[in-house]
Amino acid sequence: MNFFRYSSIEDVIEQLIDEGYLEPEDIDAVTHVLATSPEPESPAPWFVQVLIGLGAWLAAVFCLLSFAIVMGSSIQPAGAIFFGLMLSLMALAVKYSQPSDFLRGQFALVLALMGQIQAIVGFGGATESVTATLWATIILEAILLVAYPGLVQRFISAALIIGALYWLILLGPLTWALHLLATVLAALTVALWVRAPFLGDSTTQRGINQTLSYALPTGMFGGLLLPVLELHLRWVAGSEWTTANFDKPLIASAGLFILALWLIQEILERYHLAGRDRLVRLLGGGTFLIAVATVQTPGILAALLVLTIGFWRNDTVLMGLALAFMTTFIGVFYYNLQTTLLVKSYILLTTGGMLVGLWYLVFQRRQVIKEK
Amino acid sequence: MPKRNPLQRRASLPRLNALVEARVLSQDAWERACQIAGHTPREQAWLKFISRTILTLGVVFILVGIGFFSAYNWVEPHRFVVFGGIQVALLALVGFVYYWGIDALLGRLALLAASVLVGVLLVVISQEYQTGADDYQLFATWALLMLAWVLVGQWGPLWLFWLVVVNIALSLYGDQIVGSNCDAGIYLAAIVLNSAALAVWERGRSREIEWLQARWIPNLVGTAILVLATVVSIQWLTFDGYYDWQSESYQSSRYFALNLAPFVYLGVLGGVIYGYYLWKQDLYMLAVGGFSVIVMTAAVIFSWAADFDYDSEFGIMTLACLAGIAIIVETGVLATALVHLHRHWEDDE
Repeated sequence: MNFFRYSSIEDVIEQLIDEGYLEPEDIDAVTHVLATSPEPESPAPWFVQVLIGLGAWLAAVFCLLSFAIVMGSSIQPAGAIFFGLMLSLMALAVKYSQPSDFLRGQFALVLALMGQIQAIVGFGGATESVTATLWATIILEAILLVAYPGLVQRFISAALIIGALYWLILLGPLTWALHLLATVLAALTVALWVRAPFLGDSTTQRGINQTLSYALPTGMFGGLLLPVLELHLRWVAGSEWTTANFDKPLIASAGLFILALWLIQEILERYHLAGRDRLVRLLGGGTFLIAVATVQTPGILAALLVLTIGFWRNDTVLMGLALAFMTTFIGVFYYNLQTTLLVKSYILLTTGGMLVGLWYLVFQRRQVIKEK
Repeated sequence: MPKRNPLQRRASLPRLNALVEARVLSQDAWERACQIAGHTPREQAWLKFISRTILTLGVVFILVGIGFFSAYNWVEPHRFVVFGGIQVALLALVGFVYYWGIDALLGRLALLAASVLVGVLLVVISQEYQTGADDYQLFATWALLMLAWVLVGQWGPLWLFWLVVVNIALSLYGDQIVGSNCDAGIYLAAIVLNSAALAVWERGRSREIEWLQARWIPNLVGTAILVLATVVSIQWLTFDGYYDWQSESYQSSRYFALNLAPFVYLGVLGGVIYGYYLWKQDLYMLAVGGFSVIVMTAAVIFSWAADFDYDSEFGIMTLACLAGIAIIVETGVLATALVHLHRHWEDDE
């Protein structure tokens, strides 16, 4: 997806001056910044980051196996916590010694993963309390999120914090708060991406913002997927789980609907799109249709929200994430037990027909899009 | 050589971000600068996106709704009502394709929907008339019936859908006919099939055929090929004999298809290097190929464990440590090489 046309900085600045965003005197400041700033290097593509993460996990598993064999049953929980924290500190030291070196970074990441696993498992063994272990995980990962200067580890830290929060909710009496957390994550995702670029007063802040921009939507999708995994969770947590544990998906659906309306309004205002009122009615109506049809599976609306943000910011990774989860949520709609297959088919057929009809009325009849 | 005027440089996103960080551009000015430079979509692109999303989602909902409806296994309506309903829908969709044309998105979606309905119709027929046919025959027939539309449609997603149906047919054939005695044979057949499909796509892409320019489809197929090649090679490495149902005896030596696995794996790797490093530039495929090598290294190290006494903890510990270190080094070297290649290719563009 490429909207890019070759524009020089000069072309862009001149147009900004014409439109009143800049003063003519600002050209000197622009020239000074570009002349003195180091030429930015293009970052590693997303799949290289994924490769690094997967390789680190694989290596950590083997190294931990080796460590477990060496220590055998002699290691105590306190010892595991101590070794885990020491390994994490070593990882920080190795990473800070040469942050941009991939080989050293890979070694540091493996040490960090080994350290986290040992510390968390050790804490679990020492306290024999799931709740206490989850809180310890959140604290440890929050420290690593701030301190460790690497995208992959920060992503893992953010994902573990979000996962621990979901687990804490599921252990408590207010399990419907799961949907609330997913909605909060959606709101934070929108807020972060709308305020792009991911600025901060320091490199650390920028790095954290950049990590959260992908970790928050991933965590949101994970939370919305949990009710579908209900049967598996029942096996893990025992026979006390029932479908009632995941009721009130309306919370997430309503929250996501409001967010979607806000995002539509925001985009239309920023872009000064022609025929705004008609578009607001169309998009609001279409979003309402989708929200009502998929009220039991709010993940579909969440995926649409993230897809729109990804398109706006020209981020193919975000769009790919949204499309992958949208496909998953449409597929798992089949397994939703709140309504029969026949009713679900009627809902989908009716909604689908109305969306196609809406499209025809607005885009085809009114020739809104000028074909080149 | 005179220094280039900074203002003449390309208005890339990192440069615009640097201006915001230096407080030269405000948030609103940055937003507008991104629109001017094309880093964010303009009005017509937005309208197209909204149009396509609403249309595609509507069609997908309708298709899935039809799938749910047929899966409901409703016994009350007469079979002619069910058959008639699906066939009328099929005819209507073909009519849409003719009316809108295969160049329009609606026409293409209608063709995809019609292709899906062919499968739904075959499923309903097999439910209604218990002919005793195997499942693989259903999918093979579906793929055959769809083929003409795929060739005429000239649309990537439709082509991918057809390839998925063919692969399902092959997999079911392996399950139902060949059985577990020759898993590797089915894997190798799938590798050959998908490699041929990929080769056709890439050849078409090099000839600048418009509908074959998308990268995500061949990348997906390439990933599947590498996964299959890796899995069957690991099977070869960890082979420990199998029970032959035909001769009703335990066989300790590898069968012919399994013996081909390492050669096929090397062939696939060679193809990835030739195709995506020497011929075309595709960093993603090189990354997946590299990760496959990392996984195979770990598998090779652990296949040596077969020669160790399992009571020897020292042996297993050494192997685990060796595997961990090998993976760290390989991943670090691979990541460095890929990033270097990425920047080198970007500079060339």
